[in-house]
Amino acid sequence: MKELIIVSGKGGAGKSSTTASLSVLLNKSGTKITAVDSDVDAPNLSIVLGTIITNYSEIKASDKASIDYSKCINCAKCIPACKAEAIFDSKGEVPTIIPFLCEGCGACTIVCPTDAISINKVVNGRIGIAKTPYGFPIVSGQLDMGEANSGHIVTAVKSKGRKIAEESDSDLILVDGPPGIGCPVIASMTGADSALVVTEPTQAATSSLDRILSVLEHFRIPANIVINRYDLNPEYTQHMEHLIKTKWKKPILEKIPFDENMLLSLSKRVPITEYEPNCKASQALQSLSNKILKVIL
Amino acid sequence: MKNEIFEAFNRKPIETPIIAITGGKGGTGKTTVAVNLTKALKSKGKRIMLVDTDVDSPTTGIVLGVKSKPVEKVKMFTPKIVEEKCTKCRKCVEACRAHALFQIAEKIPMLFEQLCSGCEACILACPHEAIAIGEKTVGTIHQSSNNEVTLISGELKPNEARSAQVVTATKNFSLKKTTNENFDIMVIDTPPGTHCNVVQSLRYADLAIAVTEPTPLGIYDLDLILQLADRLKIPTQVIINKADIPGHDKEGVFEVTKQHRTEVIAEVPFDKNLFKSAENGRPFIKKYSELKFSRAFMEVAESVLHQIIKH
Repeated sequence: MKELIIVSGKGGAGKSSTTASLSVLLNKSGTKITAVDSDVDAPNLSIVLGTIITNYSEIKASDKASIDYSKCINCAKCIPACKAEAIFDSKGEVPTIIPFLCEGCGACTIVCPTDAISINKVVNGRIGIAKTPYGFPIVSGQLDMGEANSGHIVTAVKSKGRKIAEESDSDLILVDGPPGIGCPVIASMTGADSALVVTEPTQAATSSLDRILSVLEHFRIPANIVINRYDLNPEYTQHMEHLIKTKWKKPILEKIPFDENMLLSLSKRVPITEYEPNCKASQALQSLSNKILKVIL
Repeated sequence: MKNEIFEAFNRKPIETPIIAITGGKGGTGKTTVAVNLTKALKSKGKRIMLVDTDVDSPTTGIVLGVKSKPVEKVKMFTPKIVEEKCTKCRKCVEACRAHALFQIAEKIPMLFEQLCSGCEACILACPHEAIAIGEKTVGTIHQSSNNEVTLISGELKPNEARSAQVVTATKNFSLKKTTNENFDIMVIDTPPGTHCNVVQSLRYADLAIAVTEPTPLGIYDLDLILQLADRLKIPTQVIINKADIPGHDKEGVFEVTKQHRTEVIAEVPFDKNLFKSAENGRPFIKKYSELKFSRAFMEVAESVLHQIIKH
């Protein structure tokens, strides 16, 4: 079983749309797929795959401090101990915790002379599992609003994904990753066999591409590149291709043209390759799918 | 949750109005809106401090077309164990909830730096003052060299996970500068998503403008970011970007907006030229001032100014 992660650095480059089309195409070609959405901040893969997830279970992956006011003597020692500045002196009377800022590190519990503070696990997200209309399973995560530790939710989603993949005897786990290069992205990459980096011909995307490639390099995950909407700026695409080949020395697996069918298919919640299989973007995606079969599987 | 918790969270350390540009989904046009709104406010005679807190992928400078130089390193605490003083009592290892400190047999504890959150609980737990303050660089704060608009942007060092620390440092740096140099308005270009970096970016904002696109994905993520802002008790407004794309579902946006008792203040049309404008590193509004796109931003600027005066 292989694991392919789809990332981009910059958001909105087309990760979810590409992942959705690839999962359907690869599944049709006989590769058994499990799709995983690890962008727990903005989980969109199930929408593109026209799947409504109803079966969610809660995850407790966040630590938060809470004060037992029957024990608190209001010495205020916890306030300076908290480097996250999550404890304040409420009306000069009792220390109060701002849960949005508390990281659950427990420094306050160490300085409290009356053991009035405890650290408890709280629910900070949920995992959903469903079967897509295309026959393969999808595992999707959702971070609760205002909660921290999205990296831990990602890890939980990925391990659930692997379990489902094993149970369904999958050949390939396709992970739709979050934007950026920080903690949830690193958590998403862990254990991946290779990465597909979706980018677009703009200077902003190039700068983000540079950053995501250096993170992939650090974790020794081989990367292949897809340039999305390449024809919106052919000259810049040429410049990018040159950079990708000479500076980063990575293979460009495919260039996908801008296609209004992409937007129309999205509004119908159907991957473009199902909506309009012969349009120019679908043809490029089909070719990408064939190359993935050869290069990655 | 008690009201005073929200008051403590949102209590601004400065008086200057703060507008945060956010949106949930990536690529909806947060940076485009932040930069063009800044330009529009500037044209109305306001001095703007623009802050890029998308420390994972900082691109505001590119879209603004300015070159930035590093002005400060973002450093994080890491423990340094003083071997002569350490009695190997294990207290620091037990205190470290991130499991960054570990002890093999009866040896001096060791640090797995990648897991350290910099909370300093180990220092507090050590009875022998055997932990000294060490540090590591997790990011950099940059400042633009352009005179027209001041841009402060945070940049996470690649391979580091602690981006929230970089966001907080970038914000604190900008808040100080905004007061010291008498800026009129602070505009924050937030990261995508709803995680802790976004929470830190939205903190203190008088108004969060959520930029969305009229697709099922944009609408779903708009609902999430509005839920987050509601939870933090930060007032919101919505801009529909790429409002006229084929198959658009503006009704869906209006529905979510209504559910959250907020309003759409502008609809910005899609323009393929934007791709080239962004590539050239030149704000669109400046290059194509006569277009519908640019007029939309002038209207947003007027609406924002009106609200600030009302405050």
